[in-house]
Amino acid sequence: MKSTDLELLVVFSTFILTVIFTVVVYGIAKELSLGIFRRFFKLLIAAAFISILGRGIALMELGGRIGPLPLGIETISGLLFFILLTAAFWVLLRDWRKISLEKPVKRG
Amino acid sequence: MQVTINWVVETILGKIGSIIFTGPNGVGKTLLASQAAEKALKQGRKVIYALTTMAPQNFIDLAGSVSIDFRDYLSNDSMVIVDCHTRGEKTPFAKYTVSPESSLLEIRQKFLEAADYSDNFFLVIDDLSTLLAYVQSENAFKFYQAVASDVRRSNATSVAVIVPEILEQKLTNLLYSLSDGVVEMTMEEMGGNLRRFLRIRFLRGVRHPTEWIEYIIGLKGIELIV
Repeated sequence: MKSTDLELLVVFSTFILTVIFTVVVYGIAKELSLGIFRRFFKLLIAAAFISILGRGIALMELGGRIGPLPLGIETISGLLFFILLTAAFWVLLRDWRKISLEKPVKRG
Repeated sequence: MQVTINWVVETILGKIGSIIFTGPNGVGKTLLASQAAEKALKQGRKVIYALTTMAPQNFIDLAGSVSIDFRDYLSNDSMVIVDCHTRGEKTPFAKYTVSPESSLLEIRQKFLEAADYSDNFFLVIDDLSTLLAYVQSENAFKFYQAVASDVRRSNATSVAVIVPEILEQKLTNLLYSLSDGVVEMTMEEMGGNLRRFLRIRFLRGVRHPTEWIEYIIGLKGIELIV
């Protein structure tokens, strides 16, 4: 197997996994988009879409459907994905601390 | 920011989602919920009031003690009482009676039926902690999640009254996490007097003060002392 074929296979697999991830996140968001989870799921879905976009572009480039992309575009989509993922969990943790009776927010 | 009880009630009614009133017994949660219900009725909204700790007659009398008369609203069905207290017997003022032994699914279904599957209703569960006291935490969480989803889907508002001591702290936290707001009420004995305080712990999407505000229960219900 050539290294480009292997790369294509790996990128394709991650693309499929990201799509599954998005569907799963969307599924749980439909059930649990309440209270502190609303913003969390919005960010998580945004992160998943960014990831799909990044994987999709990489796949098209490797498949020869589009020309060579500027260097670093993949890294940027990856970076955005992790920023949004971190933000989602940061927002969840912050909101949980705000409502939690064990760790009440210092105010009032 | 000048906060009045009218502002608190109107802000809650202006939200789509689920709010929790929490505090010990006798603090005035039912009175605050009654004031919110009266305001919702005046706005032309359908009110579903689920009772789990008192008979409808007692609730009507309690509301009457603060000059709130629900009888006309009950007779024209703009207000519907779901009695989850008197073991499924037919009781005056209650349109629906649900045995406390009924499944949570049945109770949830009854709320929707009482609302005529309409939009923009105002649901009060008074109180939720009694309803969930002997239920496993997972089931209790799923029940509240389902009711909160129904409320959001119907562009409605709900108020669930809870006494935190009745429930596990972990479950109380989870109920808070699914809610769009929590109003805390407490009372303390100070210098031989019983003083009551209220604060908005959080109310998503609304700028609000978070400090404790003292209130009294007067002839017209709860009044904040500002």
